[in-house]
Amino acid sequence: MPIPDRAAVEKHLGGCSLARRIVTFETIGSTNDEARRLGREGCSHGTLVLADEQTRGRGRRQRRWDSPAGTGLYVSVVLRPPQHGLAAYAAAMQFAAGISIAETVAPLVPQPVELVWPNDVFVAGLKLAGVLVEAETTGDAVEFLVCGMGLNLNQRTEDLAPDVKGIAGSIRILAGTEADRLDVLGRLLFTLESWEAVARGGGAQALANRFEELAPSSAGCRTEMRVGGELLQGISRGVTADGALLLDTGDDEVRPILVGELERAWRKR
Amino acid sequence: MDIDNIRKLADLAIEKNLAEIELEQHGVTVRIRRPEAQVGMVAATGGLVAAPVAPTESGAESAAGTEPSYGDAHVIKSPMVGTFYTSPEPAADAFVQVGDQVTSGQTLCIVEAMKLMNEITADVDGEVVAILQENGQPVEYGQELFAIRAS
Repeated sequence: MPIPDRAAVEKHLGGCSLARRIVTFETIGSTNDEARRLGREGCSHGTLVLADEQTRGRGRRQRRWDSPAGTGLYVSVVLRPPQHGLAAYAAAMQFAAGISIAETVAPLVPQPVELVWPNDVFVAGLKLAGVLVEAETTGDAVEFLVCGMGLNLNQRTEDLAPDVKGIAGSIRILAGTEADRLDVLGRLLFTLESWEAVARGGGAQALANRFEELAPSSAGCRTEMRVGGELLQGISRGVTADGALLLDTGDDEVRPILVGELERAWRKR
Repeated sequence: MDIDNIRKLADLAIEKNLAEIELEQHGVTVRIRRPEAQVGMVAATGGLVAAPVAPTESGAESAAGTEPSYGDAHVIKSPMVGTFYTSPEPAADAFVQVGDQVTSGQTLCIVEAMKLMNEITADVDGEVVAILQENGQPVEYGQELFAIRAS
């Protein structure tokens, strides 16, 4: 079992700027919570928290992310933003996480990988991974970001909780073969490292463009969004460099949605 | 349409455990319905020259061990796990019926997976010869949805 084996992980991630310091746990509540705790203690950029099992894995809006031992990757990275362009960096890293998962998973499954705004990762209709980017701020300043990623690797259908059967998937379910956790971890972190450099260098628009390529529903699709208590209907018109989904609601109005829930999107296959 | 063709259609319905199959030829439409995939029933409907057709035997021997009997029909499979819908909204008409001519790119159904309503489109021109899933039912990745005889 490679994940708690820090020596093997350190060797595999050697030289990765997002794994300068590696903290591993056999079991933890949530890697994001631990990364935030370390961030508040002043840990450096590129501190990586890794757990074999999470007992309180979570996604956006406190949604549960089942994280059983021995089968998945549960990682969180502490990111210190650049001095300028903090907001753009945070938005860009949201895209970077989803893009990096999609690019890591794509060669491992026979079906196409699809992102859905803001950060869902689907393969053949099954949710394979989750992203949770959280920012800790002081006043207006972003002190640090925590980029959390959960990826289902070797769960079998019978291992899934009853309420996520037919909704959640894993690489093993989709590809029929087991994935090597250490190998996938390395691909994921080195991919994220390269996109983080793009984000840091002011390349938020490049990340938005790449996100759109991987998220066919984000442009030109009939879409329903819930924003506050309101249900908005329109046509998706792509994503912006600051992370918004553009929704064309008619009346010559294209609304950038920064915070909202995608209810439904229609697209042709 | 002769009785042999109708028998083949009934065999197909049983072999594939279809709830309904409809075939139109030369102005005669034959629709076979199998409520809960129990007793097979053949009814002739529509068409000026439709001849009454006697119900066929139910539980006819299926062509065990032979190829699926869509002949050379093209099969559209589900690209994802989800829920199969024959119409855009619950109250709306179905996208297509058995016997319809469809063109490549035309929407045949929706497979809803999480928040994505995936409109599954035809990738050939032709006639819909079978709808292989029931409205509102879950479908698996790669499960057969439609048989289309390419024109």
